[in-house]
Amino acid sequence: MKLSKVIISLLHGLPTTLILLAFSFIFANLIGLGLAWLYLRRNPIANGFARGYLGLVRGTPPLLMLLLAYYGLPKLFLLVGIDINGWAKLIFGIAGLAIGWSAYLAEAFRSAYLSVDAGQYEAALVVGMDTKQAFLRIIMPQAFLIALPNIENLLIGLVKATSLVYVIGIVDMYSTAVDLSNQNQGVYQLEIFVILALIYWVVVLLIEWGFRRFRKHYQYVTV
Amino acid sequence: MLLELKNIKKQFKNNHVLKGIDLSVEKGEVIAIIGPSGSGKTTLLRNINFLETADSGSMLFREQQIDLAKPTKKQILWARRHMAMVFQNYNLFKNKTALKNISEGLVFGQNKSKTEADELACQALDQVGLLGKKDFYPSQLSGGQQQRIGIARATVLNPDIVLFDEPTSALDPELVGTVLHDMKTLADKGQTMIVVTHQMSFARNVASRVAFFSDGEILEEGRSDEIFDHPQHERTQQFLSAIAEDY
Amino acid sequence: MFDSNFALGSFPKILAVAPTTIYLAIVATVIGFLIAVLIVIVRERQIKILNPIVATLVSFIRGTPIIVQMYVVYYGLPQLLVALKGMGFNTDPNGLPAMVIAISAYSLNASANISESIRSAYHSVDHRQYEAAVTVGMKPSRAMTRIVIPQLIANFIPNFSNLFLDLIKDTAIVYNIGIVEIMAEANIISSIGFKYIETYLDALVIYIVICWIFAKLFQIGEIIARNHVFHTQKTI
Repeated sequence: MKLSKVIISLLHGLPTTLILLAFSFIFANLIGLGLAWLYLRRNPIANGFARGYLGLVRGTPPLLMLLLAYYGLPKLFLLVGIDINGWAKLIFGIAGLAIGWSAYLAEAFRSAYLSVDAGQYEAALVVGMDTKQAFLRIIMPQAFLIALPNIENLLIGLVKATSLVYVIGIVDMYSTAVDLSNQNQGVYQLEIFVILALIYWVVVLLIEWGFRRFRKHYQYVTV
Repeated sequence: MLLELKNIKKQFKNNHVLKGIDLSVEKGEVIAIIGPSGSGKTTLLRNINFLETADSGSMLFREQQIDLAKPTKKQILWARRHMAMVFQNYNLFKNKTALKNISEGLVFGQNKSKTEADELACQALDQVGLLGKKDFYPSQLSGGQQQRIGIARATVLNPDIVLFDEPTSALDPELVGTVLHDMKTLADKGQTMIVVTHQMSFARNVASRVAFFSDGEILEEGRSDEIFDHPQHERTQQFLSAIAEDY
Repeated sequence: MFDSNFALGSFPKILAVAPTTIYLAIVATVIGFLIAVLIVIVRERQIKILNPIVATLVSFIRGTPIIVQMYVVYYGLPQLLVALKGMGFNTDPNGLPAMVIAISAYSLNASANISESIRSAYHSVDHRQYEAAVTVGMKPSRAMTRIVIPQLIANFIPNFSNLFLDLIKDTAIVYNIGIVEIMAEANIISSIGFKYIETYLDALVIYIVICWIFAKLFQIGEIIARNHVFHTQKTI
């Protein structure tokens, strides 16, 4: 077996990895935004819920989160009479990763929001914006730029975490590598995993490059 | 009467910051508020445009009576859209260019179209000689340039009154002059202004009236030459002689 | 549908192997920290040839999943030992304990992350602090140890805490190479009883409590360090 064949086989798993990455990242952001919003409420129930969620999820290994999503979500849904046992494993993989990462993103959003200069909000009000416009046009864009380094780190962490979906039987790039190394009866095993690592690395380097470009575009916005 | 403030009171915990302020402003007047730091000058401005809410007091503005302690959301927005403010540390929007800093309020406070707003913003920048910086972000501008854009951002809205909160206090000494020059130009055009300032030369030469603030009260108020040449109150005399070298 | 007796019965069994998880995390962090200090010296002094190599390795380690790194070490370390033996070193490539492999992989992983964290804490110390120390006549080495490093440590602890907690959570995959820690025990019990959610919830509780305890310990450490360095008061 040639190395080029190893590379091609591994790349067959890449689309699944990327789909997992994209969807779990999108959902994690949406849940994270909601959580950050709840966390910033003065309402003790909303605030308490967000704190509890963050505390629980941030102490949970991503691998365990995937298992809990896979075995736990169907049971939770059965309680309200919905049978989701037949859903694709990919959905549970996305759910597990999204739940896990939503907590980290929520914390990033919350701390970014809190570190926007209060004078910015006042300036928006005195030029006649209402509170909603001030939030959307001035506060949110600045909070986003403040949160960006954290978001980048979390996205990279998520790339790496997608490799864990093997535990619920999703065939991504990592489990393709495991299959390949098992088939080969011990030949080329090291090479397979080194190549796999290199592919992940390339994905991460591309993400870092994208964020660098974006930051360069906004280099003069010093928030 | 453009603006009439009556009996404004505000306290933070046990600290009485405003102890019943009365102040009236005619159209076209420039009122300088002077006095020691921490005497409540800035708080007064922030109560007028509702950045803080007073404990009690009322405001008659453009013939509308507003309870400063219980303003409605509508009243707040209406009042803010007829006033403008210039901040001590500029508070230019960090995520907007110089041009957009000025046009933002026209679009979102006054519902002007983007093109019209940008055009007006360009004119405003041109008037202060900063048109060349229109695509610069605040971080690329000096403090003086930022504050002059801050003033343009306020005046482009064509407000009935502009509140200046120590507009030159954060500036390096050599940059103060350009900002004061812009403010004088504005005053000469008949813009109504309330200016909290430590620049006694401005208070003396540009302001039509001066109010001396001490400990949450207006101790003395009158034509600027009267206050500076014949201060009645002992505290005013002390304050003016302590900073005598300034003017 | 949820067997709480099973969950309760399994809990002590899973808790009993928690020390393995903690042991692995602590040993890997300590070794990783020592390597990280070397990495930081190479990178901050910009030592020729070594600096770009180390920078690339750090980027590589930070850009790849720990589970892949673990298998690279799992398959690579014995080969490395064979090669060393061929060069005359006295090594025994056969029958490497799984714990040695795990500690090697996790130490390397930790060293890359910790080195970046130390560097950012180092850069967050105001450079003028060093300049001020030198202008009052301190030797550069003394300025580092007396002024810069104490401030750096206080800035570094919160990040270090996060890295350590991440490492604890990352150890949940070492059952793949045969180490029996929390996750492995949960899997074993699950597969006997075909009851998954019960044991996984046990594991969840144990992980959260471990993380909570260590987070508190680090917070206390940070307060002590800050009081010691800056004499500022900060409460939990």
